Amino acid sequence: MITIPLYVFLLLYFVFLAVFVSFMLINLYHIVASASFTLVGFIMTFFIFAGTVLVCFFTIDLLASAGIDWQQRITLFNAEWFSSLFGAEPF
Amino acid sequence: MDVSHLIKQKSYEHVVYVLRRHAFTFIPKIILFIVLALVPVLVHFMIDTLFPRLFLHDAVFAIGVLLGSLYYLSILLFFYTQFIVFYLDMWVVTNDRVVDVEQFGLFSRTISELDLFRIQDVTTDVHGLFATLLKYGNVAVKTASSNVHINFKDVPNPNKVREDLIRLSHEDRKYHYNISNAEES
Repeated sequence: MITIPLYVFLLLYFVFLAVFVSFMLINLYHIVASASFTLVGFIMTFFIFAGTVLVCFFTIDLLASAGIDWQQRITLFNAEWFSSLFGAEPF
Repeated sequence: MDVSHLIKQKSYEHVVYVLRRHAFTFIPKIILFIVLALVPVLVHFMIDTLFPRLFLHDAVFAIGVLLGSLYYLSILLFFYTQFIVFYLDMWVVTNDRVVDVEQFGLFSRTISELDLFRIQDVTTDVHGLFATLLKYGNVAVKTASSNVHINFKDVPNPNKVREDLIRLSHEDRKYHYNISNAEES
C-alpha cells in the first residue's frame, strides 16, 4: 500500500504558485519594457491581478473554513483493490 | 519606458503612428476565457449530482479546492499571456521609418524596420464582415527588395494608414533626393 500525507498536495500547490508568480512577473516586465503600460495595459493587468487575489482568497477561505486535517494520509495504491476486482476468492 | 526609447528615436524624428491590432480581434480570446472559466462550475455541478456525498470527504474536498484554484490561476496566466502577445504586436511609423515589433509568445520577439523612402508599394486588405463594419484590416508595406516587407495586421483605419504612409514616403524621398543633390553639387 502506498500512502502520502495530504499536505504533499498543498506543497505541490505552493510550487505551482511560485511558477505562476514568476510568469506573471515576466508578463508584467514585458508590458513595462515594451512601452505598453498604457490605460489598456493597466486595466488588463489590474483585472488579472484582482482575479488572482480573488482566487487565492477563496482558496484560503474554503480550506480554512473546512478545518481540514492536512496530516491525514491518502492511499495512492492498494493491492487489495485488484485482488477483489474480479471477485476472486482465495483457495 | 516610452515608444521613443523603444525605437531609439533620432533627434530629427517624430512618431506619427503607434498602431496595434484592433481591440475587436481580441474578443475571441475573451470568449474562450469565459468558456474556460465556466468549465469547473459545470464539472462541480455534474459531480455534485452524480456523487452527492463525494465532497463531504475532507481529503477529496481539499484536493478539489486546490485543483480548482490551480485551474483558475492557470487560465488567468494563459489569458494574460494571450493579451501580452496581442498587445505587444505594434507598428511604429515615424517621419523617417517604419518599425515592426512582433511578439511571438513570452520569450520570442522580432523587431524589424524599413526606411520610408524605400517604400515601393502599400496595399490594404480589409477582409470579412466585422473588418468591413469596424474598419480594420491588414496593410502590407513592400520595398523594391523582395525580402524586406512589413505587414500591419488588423490595424484600425487601414486606408488612412496607407494614404499617410504614401504621403510620408514621398516627403522622405524628397528629403533624401535633396540631400543627394546637395552632395553632388
